[in-house]
Formats: sequence, C-alpha cells, structure tokens
Amino acid sequence: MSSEELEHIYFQYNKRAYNTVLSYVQNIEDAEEITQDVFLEVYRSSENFKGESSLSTWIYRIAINKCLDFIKYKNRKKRFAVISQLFDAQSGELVHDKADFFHPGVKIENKEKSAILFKAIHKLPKNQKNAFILSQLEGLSYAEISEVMQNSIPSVESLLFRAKQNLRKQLGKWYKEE
Amino acid sequence: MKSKKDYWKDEVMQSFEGIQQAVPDYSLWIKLENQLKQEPFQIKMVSKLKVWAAAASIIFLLGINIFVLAQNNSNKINKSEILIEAYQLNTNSEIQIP
Repeated sequence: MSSEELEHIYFQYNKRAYNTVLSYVQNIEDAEEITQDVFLEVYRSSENFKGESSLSTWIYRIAINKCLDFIKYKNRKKRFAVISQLFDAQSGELVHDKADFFHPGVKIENKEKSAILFKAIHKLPKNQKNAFILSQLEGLSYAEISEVMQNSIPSVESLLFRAKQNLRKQLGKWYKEE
Repeated sequence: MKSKKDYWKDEVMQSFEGIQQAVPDYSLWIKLENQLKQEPFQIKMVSKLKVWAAAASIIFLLGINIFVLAQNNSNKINKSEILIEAYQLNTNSEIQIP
C-alpha cells in the first residue's frame, strides 16, 4: 500500500475509527495515539486484507483490538502500581473511580448524564461493550455489527439487550435520591 | 407508574441522542505521515503466478521478434535471388549485358 492510498483511506475512515476508539478508551489523548496505531496497522497489514469483509469492517476490527490491547496494558500497569498511589495524597481516600469523560460531540444539556453513561459502559463485559458502542455510538446496523464482531445477528441482539439491562442495573446503583 | 429513579435512568440512557461525531485534529494525520516515513521500506512479495506470467510474456515477445526478424531476413534473401535471376546479375559484381 502506498502512502497516497493510506491517505485516501485515512480521510475516508478516520472519524469512524477515532470515535470508536474514543468511546472505548474515554480519553482524547489516548484515542489519538490509538487511532494512529490503527492506521499504521492498516498500512502494515494491507497485504493481509483479502477483501472477504468490507474495508470499514476490517478497520473497525483493528480499532477494537487496539482498544482491547490498550485496556489490558493499562490494567496490567494498575495491578503493579504501588499501593500508596491508589490513595489520594490529600484526602487519603481510595482513588478507584476513573475520571469523568465528556465526549466532545455530546449536546451540552446531556454532558453530565452522558458522562455517567460512559462510566457505566466502561464496566460492561467486552462483547456487550463492543455491541453497545457500535450500535449506539457508531450507528451500525445489527448486520454490520455481526460482521465486525463475527457473531450471528441473534447473538448481537442478545448482547445489546443484556448490555442495556446491565447499564440500567449499574445506573440504579448510582442513583442519588434528591 | 414509573419512579423518579426509572425516569432518571431513561434520561441517562438517552443522553447520547443527537451526539455528533468527534473530529480528530489534522495534526493526527501529520504525525501519522511522519511515522510512515520512518517505516522500513516494504519489500513487496509478488506471487509466483505473476512471476511466471511475466516470464512467459517476455519469452513469447522475444519469440515473436525472432520469428519476425527471421522472416524479414528470408524475405530479403528471396528478393535478392529474384532480382539476380531477373536481371541475370553476376554476383561477382561484373555487369553483363545479355
């Protein structure tokens, strides 16, 4: 693949890849780095692309795998962190919650609630997370999701149903009566 | 009747409504381009079939060229013989008047 061909592919698919990654890792700097890695991988593995799936499906798969690798790497780092670093230096409280993520594309009136939803998505099992992000944030159809995840359509439907159930369950735990 | 809690959950679940795609900064492409320049030169492996097809094409073209050249040469020789016979030319370059 030439760099001109990659440039064409990049500008055609960069938003989709970036938004998928952003929804997954919920951090803009990490998302930019991972998106770069996605397209480097596209460039390096172009010979392996046999055209059995569409180009967008292939790129989505690379993006999701890169996100999963990144999350595994982050979790490994956390496990080896010195215990004292888990506690806030000033308050002495256990720091275990990830920072709130405000997606740049969310409407202003929905920013707070969407941050809560992203937090809940972060806790979903991997496959439910994939299905939910691809459906609700990327707007893919069940057929497209099943191609990306290499699952059947009924399986995707089931994953989405369980994802929504689990999200509502998690939200219930966080609800504060005013 | 739905509780306040359920309404709140519904609102949170619907908070992605109208979400716009985030646009990566153009500098991301610049960084990627710079990384590509550092990529080791890719030696592209060509399939054996393509190599054999190319070799066969070259041999075929060479063959045609040789055949055409050979045909041209034999045509030239034939023409020379015809001329020699027709004008009873002495190939020793002596002009003979019939």
